[in-house]
Amino acid sequence: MKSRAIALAVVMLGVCFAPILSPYDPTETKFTTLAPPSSEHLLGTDLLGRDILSRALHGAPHTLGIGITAASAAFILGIIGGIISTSHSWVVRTATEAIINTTLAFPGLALALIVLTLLGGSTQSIIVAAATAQIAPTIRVIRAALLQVQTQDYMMAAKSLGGSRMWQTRYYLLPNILPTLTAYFGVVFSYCLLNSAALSFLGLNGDPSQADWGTMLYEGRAAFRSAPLAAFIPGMGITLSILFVQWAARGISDPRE
Amino acid sequence: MIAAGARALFTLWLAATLVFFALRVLPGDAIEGQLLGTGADAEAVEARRAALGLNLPITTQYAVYLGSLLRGDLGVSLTNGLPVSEIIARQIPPTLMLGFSALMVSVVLGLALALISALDIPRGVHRVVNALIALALSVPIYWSGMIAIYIFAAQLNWLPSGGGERLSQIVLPAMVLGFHISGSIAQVLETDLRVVIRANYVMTGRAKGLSETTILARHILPNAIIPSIAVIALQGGFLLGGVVITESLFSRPGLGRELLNATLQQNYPLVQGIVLWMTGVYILFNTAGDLLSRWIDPRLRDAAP
Repeated sequence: MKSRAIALAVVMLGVCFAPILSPYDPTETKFTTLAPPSSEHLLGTDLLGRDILSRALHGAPHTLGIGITAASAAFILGIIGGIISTSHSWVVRTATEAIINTTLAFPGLALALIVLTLLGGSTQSIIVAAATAQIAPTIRVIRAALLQVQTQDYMMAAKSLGGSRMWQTRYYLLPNILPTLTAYFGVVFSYCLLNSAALSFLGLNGDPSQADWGTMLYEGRAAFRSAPLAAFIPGMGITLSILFVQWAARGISDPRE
Repeated sequence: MIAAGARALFTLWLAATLVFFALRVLPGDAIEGQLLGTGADAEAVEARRAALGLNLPITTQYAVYLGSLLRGDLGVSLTNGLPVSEIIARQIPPTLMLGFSALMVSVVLGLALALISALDIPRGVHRVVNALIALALSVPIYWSGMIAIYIFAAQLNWLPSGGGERLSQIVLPAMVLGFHISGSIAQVLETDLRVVIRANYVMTGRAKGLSETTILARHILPNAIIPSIAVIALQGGFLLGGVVITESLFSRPGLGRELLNATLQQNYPLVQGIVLWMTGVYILFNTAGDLLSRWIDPRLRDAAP
């Protein structure tokens, strides 16, 4: 469990400092366009003559940052929603349940696109859009975990001790759903990363000069046949990040691994 | 059956209401975003709003909206003035074609992967199959799609990479999308197969001398497939509603690409119409999957709906 938490911390630190290793400015366009990999440009250059390695290194903290921000927002709202949805009031319970079930009937990307219709394309809107798509699924998972814990004997004991609902939640409910929360945060992060990169890939990121993996995929498409690395590298970065985070989250939430 | 239909209609109404309020009450203004870019002044924005009935009280707008929905009127596109329902109707055939082909690929592939993985097979094959399932589950479709285009269209030149007129153009997108979806079907089916294979009634079947094929077809599959039907229905609901990334990647016509264009142009009546269509298809499929499960497994019929 500890080893995976450390591995996660090391990789996160590495991602933050990745731009330092970048040999060139990621927006510099003075090089030969679509150059194959060479000793000067280890991964070659893209359609506008920018160094792909530098763009990939600068893109790492940007893209993963979008994923983390969106996932954290969705998660916090999901926890609040989950707690509300297990309220004692029948009306509140039924209403939240109906809204969640309805929201789950929208394809995730459709919800994100509704948000982007309102806000227009930009990095901030992509964060809001990716987070919005994950709120209802998060509420559902957290609600299920809460309901499961609430039937346990120790919850009955806490209740009979006369503690307030806040106190019960803080000291009994949350600690016991923590393993579910950790594992599910990995899932939410994966979806947020996947969807935000997909939205940039679809051209909804307002700023095309931004060094970002999703934007690199979007631009890389145009010259994919002659310079596949421009899109291959960021796609691989996204896939590996998802596999790594899920591996880490699984280990951290399950002490047996 | 009637209860299922009533529930489906209720969800559809709630979805329509959510979309309506999301697009009008939440912060952000599509009309402003759309017009200010063209250099129109505040007065023009106001006039446009009045023309679209957006300055009426929200409750009146909602009543008008529900009334026109019941008549099948989804409003007009902000960019070309065509009725939204007409635009959607035109994009339905290519969407259904890609959706059905991808669903077929994913069901066949998912079934095959799960069966190979759960049944007695050499270790090496087992590893390869499990790796394929993991790959299908975790690789983003925009990446696997691009790699497929690079290998099969750019390098080998076997298949066209995009377009929507010829039949050969559907092969690559259907394969990529089908493979992507097959992972979740295989994952669920494999888990259930492993449980059912060890069940006592399977042993009884063997003891009374049934052939392995009969045991698989009559006893193992019908019992193991119920949860997978729900997954297939869910994925089918998403696929036939329109797939944004795949259609855009392979330059295919369809509702997904139309939705993307509508979003880029902040054309909210079209976004609203397409999202409602997608949700309707999704609800229809889930209700159908539910009814199918009950038909296959009599035990579910008595359970609460």
